[in-house]
Amino acid sequence: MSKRILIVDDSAIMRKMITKILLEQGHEIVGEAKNGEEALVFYKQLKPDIVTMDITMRVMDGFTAAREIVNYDDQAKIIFLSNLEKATYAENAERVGAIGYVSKSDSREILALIDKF
Amino acid sequence: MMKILPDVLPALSRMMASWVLIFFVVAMASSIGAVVNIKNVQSRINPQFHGESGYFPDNDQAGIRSALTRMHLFAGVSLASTLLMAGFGFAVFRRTVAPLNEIVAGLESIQEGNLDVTLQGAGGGETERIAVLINDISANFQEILLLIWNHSESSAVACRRLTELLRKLPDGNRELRETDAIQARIREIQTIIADFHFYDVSLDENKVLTG
Repeated sequence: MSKRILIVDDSAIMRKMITKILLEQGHEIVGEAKNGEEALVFYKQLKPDIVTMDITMRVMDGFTAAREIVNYDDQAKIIFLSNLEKATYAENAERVGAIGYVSKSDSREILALIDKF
Repeated sequence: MMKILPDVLPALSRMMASWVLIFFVVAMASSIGAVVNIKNVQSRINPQFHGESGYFPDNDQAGIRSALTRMHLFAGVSLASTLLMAGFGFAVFRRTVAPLNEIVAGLESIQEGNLDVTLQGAGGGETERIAVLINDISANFQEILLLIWNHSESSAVACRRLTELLRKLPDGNRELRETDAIQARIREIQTIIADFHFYDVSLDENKVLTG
């Protein structure tokens, strides 16, 4: 089933890469944010089904943004997509209310995760 | 007035630049006024008339004094306007040049591999836009390098497993040399990447961590 997805990443190249993967599976990209602050604003405006969230970003990082989004909407579905070591940060992701953590080097795993929700 | 000035200047600098133009116009107008009054005075001087007060005809002294006063007034306004124009012009110059200096310093640092540099683009206008775009390019560069790092690390792990398997084979020497060469190339790539300074990321024992 097609989902409405908000992509959050400070790198335009990464946003393109993620967009390509998601569009191939028929999902809809409703918005792109380049930091956590924009992500929060866009989340409130666009009300996406899923948010893909990078972690290291200027202005506001992904963990802070995720906390803010989940505080605003406890039904928010956030999947972290990051280059950071998964074994070290997946637990942090769960603690802030995310539904998953995917490494950018295995970014296609996000598709299976999206299909679960 | 502000609409005719380029967007490259931030709003406050455009306002100051407007005042520079206004003072320039006032200075020019006052200078013209002073010159006109000099000619006015000159036209009232007739060297053929020698009255009690020298060369000036007695019945035109009041007119001459009045013209001289106007001349001094215009000259004073012209001088004051020129000084104010110079002052505001200097302020505009500093407000424009200082942010550009920050951008140049930031770019020099980034080109040396310091991707943790964040440009603020103080002053607004196009310089702020340039700073934002440079930060975006730096973020792109960082993401690509970290992706390469992670892929190369996965490749190195797979290569090591393959090496162990090949060692167990009786005739795997040629393949062993190839996997050794691949591992050497991976290490070379990782050495280059490890020389960069990343924004909020460090490479610790081949792991990508925050901080």
